[in-house]
Amino acid sequence: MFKVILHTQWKWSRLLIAASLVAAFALPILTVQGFGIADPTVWEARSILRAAESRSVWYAVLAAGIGLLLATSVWSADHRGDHVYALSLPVARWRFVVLRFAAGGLLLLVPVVAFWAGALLASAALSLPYGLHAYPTALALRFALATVVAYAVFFAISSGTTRAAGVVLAIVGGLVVVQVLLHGADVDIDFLQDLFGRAVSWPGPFGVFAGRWALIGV
Amino acid sequence: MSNSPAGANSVTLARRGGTALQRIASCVLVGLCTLGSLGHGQAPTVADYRLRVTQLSHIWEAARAAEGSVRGLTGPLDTIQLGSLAVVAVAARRAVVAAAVQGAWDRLDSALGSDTDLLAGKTFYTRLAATHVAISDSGVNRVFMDAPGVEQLRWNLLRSVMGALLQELDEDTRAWFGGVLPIEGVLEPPGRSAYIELVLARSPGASECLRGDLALCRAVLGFADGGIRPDSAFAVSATVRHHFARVALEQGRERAYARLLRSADVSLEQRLAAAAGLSADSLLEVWHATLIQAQPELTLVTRPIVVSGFAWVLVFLLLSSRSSRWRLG
Repeated sequence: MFKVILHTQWKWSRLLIAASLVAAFALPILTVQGFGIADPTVWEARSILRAAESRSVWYAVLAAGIGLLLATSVWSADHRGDHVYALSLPVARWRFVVLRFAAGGLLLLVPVVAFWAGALLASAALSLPYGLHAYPTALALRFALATVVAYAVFFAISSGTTRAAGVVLAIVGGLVVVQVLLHGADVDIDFLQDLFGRAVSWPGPFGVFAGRWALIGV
Repeated sequence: MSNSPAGANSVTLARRGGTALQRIASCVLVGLCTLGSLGHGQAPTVADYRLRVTQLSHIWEAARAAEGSVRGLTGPLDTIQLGSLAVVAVAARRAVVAAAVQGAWDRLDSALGSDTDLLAGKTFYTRLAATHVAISDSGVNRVFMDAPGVEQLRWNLLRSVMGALLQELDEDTRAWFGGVLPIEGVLEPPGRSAYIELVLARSPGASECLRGDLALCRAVLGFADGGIRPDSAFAVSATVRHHFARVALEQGRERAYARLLRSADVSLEQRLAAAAGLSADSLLEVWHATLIQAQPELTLVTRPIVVSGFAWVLVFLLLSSRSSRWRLG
């Protein structure tokens, strides 16, 4: 059954996978453009390091984007068919969900491997200043983890009903409104920033997206 | 640091204001001459006149705005005194300056402690706005208004104070410090920057220093027997030296700044050791240990990140399998 699900998911999302492959391969190469300075000074080397760190935000953005798009494509056919196909199968809901998740997760390997190849190529093409090193494999592992986390988050949201998604959105929107009202009333409570901080720092769900994960380091 | 009295400062500000007003008047004059010159050469059309009039009215509006700002600088002066910190400001800007002085004083008081008496007799001046009108053939390009906020003022004030304190020392020492004494939030590089600087430095001494050769660390920091190497011989930038000084001052705690500034009869290395309350060799060891602790870790893939990442994946997978879509009834 896994092979069938994998095959159908491949058919539904192959264009998306192809686009992800191109983007994931190109991004590491694009982010090291301009780093090949011959015989740089210490300050130039430092600016390369800073630029590498600041550009690394695009890796997180791409990982989140790929996770989002693939997770939504995995469930789109079920939503369109009112889940009749899934209900007709002689499997429990949890098993079907795991199969769907695993099939999508396997397809994620395509952009992840492309990213790794791009990072390796970018590293090989660079002549880095003394003291700086490239970490393509470690970066690719981080990218893979971030992609899987993003995929899991949006997979959970997409698997629910429109009402469930609406409830999630309403809660987030409600929190923002309350924060704005508190700010307007000069109440010095910034719980939204606190919540966001907890979400993007360890062990929050989005901790994998935060921090420095540049291709180049000391 | 400036020691000129408030009156002299007022005169300076008035002169500045006058110069700016003269410049604006010159610009308007140039514009009027340009309008007048349209009568020569090729006969101008009505559209040309309209264009010139529009340009001149823009210049006039910008000049009026600039005049208001310049006049705002020439008002009476006020002195804000907090502890031994005295700051002179234009009275109209007192509230902003006072907030910045309070912030700077809090920081100085906590960093210098009783050494704030080193500031006695020093007066600092603030200039809160500068206006510049740039004019080209096509009229007014931009009007630049520099009106810094409280935080920027506080930072500048702290930097001025630490620079003024450094003026007490000899020229070589001032060069060693890169023009300002370290204090938290003012040119105080964290250990990470110092570590990276040493890694990137092409000097072989820098890499050996990182590996623990303290004699080479001493050379890298610019210390020579009986004094300081000349400025051109520094192997690394002031970032590393500031980190060293910061470590010394942190070790020394109370009156560390006073010991640094008031023991002028010994070498800087000994002076920093005195500030730290340690021997020169011990201070080098402590600094090296601090530097190694600040080594940036490769945080791309660590066990906590991997464990928490997969834990959240499992949580979301569990949530997915609990959807109400397939429930009956």
